[in-house]
Amino acid sequence: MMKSLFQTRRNLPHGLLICVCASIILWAISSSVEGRIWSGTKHLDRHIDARLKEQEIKPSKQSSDAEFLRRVHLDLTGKIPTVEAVVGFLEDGSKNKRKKKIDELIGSELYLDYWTRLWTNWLIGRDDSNREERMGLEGWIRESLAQNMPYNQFVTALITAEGSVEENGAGNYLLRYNLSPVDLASHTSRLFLGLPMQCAQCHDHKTEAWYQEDFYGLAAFFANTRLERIYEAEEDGGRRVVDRILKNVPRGSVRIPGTHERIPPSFLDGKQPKTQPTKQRFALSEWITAKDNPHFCHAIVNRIWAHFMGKGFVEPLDGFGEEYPPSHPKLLDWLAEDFMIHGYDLRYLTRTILNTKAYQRTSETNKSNQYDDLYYSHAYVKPLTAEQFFYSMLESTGFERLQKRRDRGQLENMKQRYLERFLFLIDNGEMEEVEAFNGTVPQALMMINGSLVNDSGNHKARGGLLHHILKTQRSKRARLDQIYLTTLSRYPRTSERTYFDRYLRSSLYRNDALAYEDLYWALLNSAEFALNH
Amino acid sequence: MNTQVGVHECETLDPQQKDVSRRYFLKVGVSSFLGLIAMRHLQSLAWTPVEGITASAKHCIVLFMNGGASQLDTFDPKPDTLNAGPFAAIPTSVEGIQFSEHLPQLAEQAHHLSIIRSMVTREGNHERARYLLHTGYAPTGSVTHPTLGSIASHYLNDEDFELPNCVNINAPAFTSGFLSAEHDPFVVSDPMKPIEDIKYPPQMDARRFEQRLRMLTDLEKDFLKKHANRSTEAHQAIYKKADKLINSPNVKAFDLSQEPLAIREAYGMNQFGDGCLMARRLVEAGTKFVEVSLDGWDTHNNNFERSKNLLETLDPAFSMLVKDLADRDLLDETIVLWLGEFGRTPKINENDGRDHFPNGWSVVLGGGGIRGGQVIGATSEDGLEVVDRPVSVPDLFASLCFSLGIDSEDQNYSRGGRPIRVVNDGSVIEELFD
Repeated sequence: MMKSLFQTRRNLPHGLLICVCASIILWAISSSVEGRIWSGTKHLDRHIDARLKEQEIKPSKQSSDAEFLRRVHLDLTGKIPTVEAVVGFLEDGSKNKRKKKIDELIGSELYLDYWTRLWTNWLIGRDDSNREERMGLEGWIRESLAQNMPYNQFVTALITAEGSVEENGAGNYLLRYNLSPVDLASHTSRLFLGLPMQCAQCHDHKTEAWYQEDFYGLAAFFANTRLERIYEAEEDGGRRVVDRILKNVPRGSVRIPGTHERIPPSFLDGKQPKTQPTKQRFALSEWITAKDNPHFCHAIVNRIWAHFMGKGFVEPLDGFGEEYPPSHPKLLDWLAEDFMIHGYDLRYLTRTILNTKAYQRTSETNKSNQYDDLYYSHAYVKPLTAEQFFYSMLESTGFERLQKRRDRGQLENMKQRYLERFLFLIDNGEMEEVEAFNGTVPQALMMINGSLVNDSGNHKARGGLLHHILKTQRSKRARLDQIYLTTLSRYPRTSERTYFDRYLRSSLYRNDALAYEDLYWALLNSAEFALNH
Repeated sequence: MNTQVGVHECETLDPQQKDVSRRYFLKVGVSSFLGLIAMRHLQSLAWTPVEGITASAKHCIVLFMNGGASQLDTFDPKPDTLNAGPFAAIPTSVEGIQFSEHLPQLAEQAHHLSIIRSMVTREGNHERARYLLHTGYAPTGSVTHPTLGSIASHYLNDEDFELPNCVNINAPAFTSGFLSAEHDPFVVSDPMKPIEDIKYPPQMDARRFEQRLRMLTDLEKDFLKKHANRSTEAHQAIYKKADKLINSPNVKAFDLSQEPLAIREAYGMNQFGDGCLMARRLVEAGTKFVEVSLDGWDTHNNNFERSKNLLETLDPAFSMLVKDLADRDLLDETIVLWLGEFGRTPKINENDGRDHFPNGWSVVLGGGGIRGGQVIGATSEDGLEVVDRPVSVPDLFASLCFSLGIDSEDQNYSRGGRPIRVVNDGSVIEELFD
């Protein structure tokens, strides 16, 4: 039973202690950060390889440099690399260039932009109806990521936010849910603990040992929060909100709807906080982020692992419990422990995962592993998320680089319009990442006939990418190189060059430029472009 | 938020259930197995699993009131009671049935409609309730269930039909879940505007496009061979469908400019009215399922003014849709279903609003062989509870399936390999059918 996990952990301190000691010794031995990452990375690979061997699955070989670069750009910055980045990386002859690239990207502005968007969606979903709260939260997240704030502090700040929301953007997380105790309990347990508690809002959970009282006990922690608006008089006699203040009131219980029972705050292990009601969110955050709460680190390392590897140890990500046992239980425990020992450092966790052989395998399968979707024998193909797809499209159509005559504001407006339309077509308000090609025809229509693709692929259109390539590159070879680098982030293969030669001859176009248009269109519309592989 | 304590239908199939069906199968034996096959074949002619009643729908149009409409201010008025609010109740074309005063045109169509006043659900959160009312299942987090339109598209699929079988108008849609991606809803974000990108760009024509498509197929052959999986297959499938759509003469079903202005005006000439008109045109062309959303019903404050405005949009569109379908002899084969994700509290709150209320609310059905001019179930005088014939979401879904000739007991497999019924534990509401 899931609940017993909380207790068993406490009954078994020896195992934990040994683990901690061993890790501290290891840490002491490896003096540099680099050393620590390498030892973690090696441990992950050893464990995954051993499981593969046990299953008699032959892993795929390592990815090519171009394949690696495209994947790591998509995973860390949310879009494909620029042509310059591809060429630069392929020409770099140094031995540890992949590791250097990972470090470089983690330190980049693009990484902060992308992970801010990711975290915002994880925390408050895509509902865009309150832009003020979204932007307030985004600002706070970006700042936290830029400082590489330890994850336990990050979560604590979100749960315990108080005071001026203007000054403390973390408060927007509570505000987004209108301070609703049930919504916050549901969301907090899903995201920070990986537990599907939201079912217990309306009824006892059927497959896990969660009762309605557990859920409302958790919700009660949020019952002490109130919002006070600060107004400023305006010249026309009206008033406007200048700040919003989150306050704690001495109230500490909620009622289960349809009953008269008031439920006081209670942790999921059944214990009750000893603090006064005004401090109860602090008590909750301490309990959630406590070292002996096994779910806290498990949930986040599983989420991050799933983001990079295409499959979590536990799926769904909020499915921790009896029903969905982890595929690699020991490795999950180890990774969670390792994350905790290294100061809840998300960048450290990211580096540890990205440097593994497992992450850097090719996505091409072999006979022995083509059906594997459990043991990480090859890089699992991930459909681009809506945002990844959109920002990659902007990159490969030269949208920002080539439209120089427009001013920045105009460009941002156009971008926003495209993005809104794109998201509308695929969004159903989910908190998780939405796949770009989840099957809707309007998206395909947008790619087939839409102006973003076709304007940039029109050889006569100034400011369009194809026009630019054909004007600046004179040889067929160079033109093909540029078209492939721009769209698929790699050079064309010999067979692809030959194919294009044949196409030029057989298409009977009076103008060769039309054949290039077709090629550019075909590559942008290919599965290779639409997938992270 | 109003929810009840109790068991739930979160889960789909327990081992016992599987056992029962196996035992049942063994006991009933081969003859019924043959019967089942015969029945599948006869589905398109007549579907008769419930003794004595028949149903004949081929299409379904859902009018979805996003946010949850108030039953007291629409189809379950409680005149002269404490919770009545300012709206009066008016008579309809059926003696004894009253609607809100802001539904005068629809009141004239009441003889086509069955009003269910006793819906009982347990989800009081918008997102969860919306999922429930679209899929028939409460969200589990682990399985993504298909939305009703995708179910219809899956079972009533016509391979040769070029238009999408499932269209959602005015709002993003739920997905086909564990069914094939080709049954995902086609989303029309605004019916008042032409469908975007449905025509080739200026420099393109069908012949050149065919050549392009062939190039795409040739070039990605190698990649697809090395990456055979669901994502690549889905990608292929939608391109084929998009191509078929672009070149279909049926595409004019989306073009409302082909409709006489007077008709368009009768529907209201707004986004919802045009959506209803587009739904009729699509059904006429052969589309199986269309959902049209009307947003704005989450009236926690100022409920009456906001509801009145919304009803003024709803009334002409809904009534015209029923009338128009009837005039074209399409009503008998088209179910029209009106609902939201839940009702609203009978008690009026301090902001003159009504809050979420899943404990007893109304849905309306008409057409598709459904008996009109009746009320099913009832709520108490204060509206706080159902006092007669509670109806669950699975009951509603089983009835829709029955009417459309879909076997609601049929099982499909989730991504995780679990068998999941089209509808779990629902019984057909027999009063709906003759």
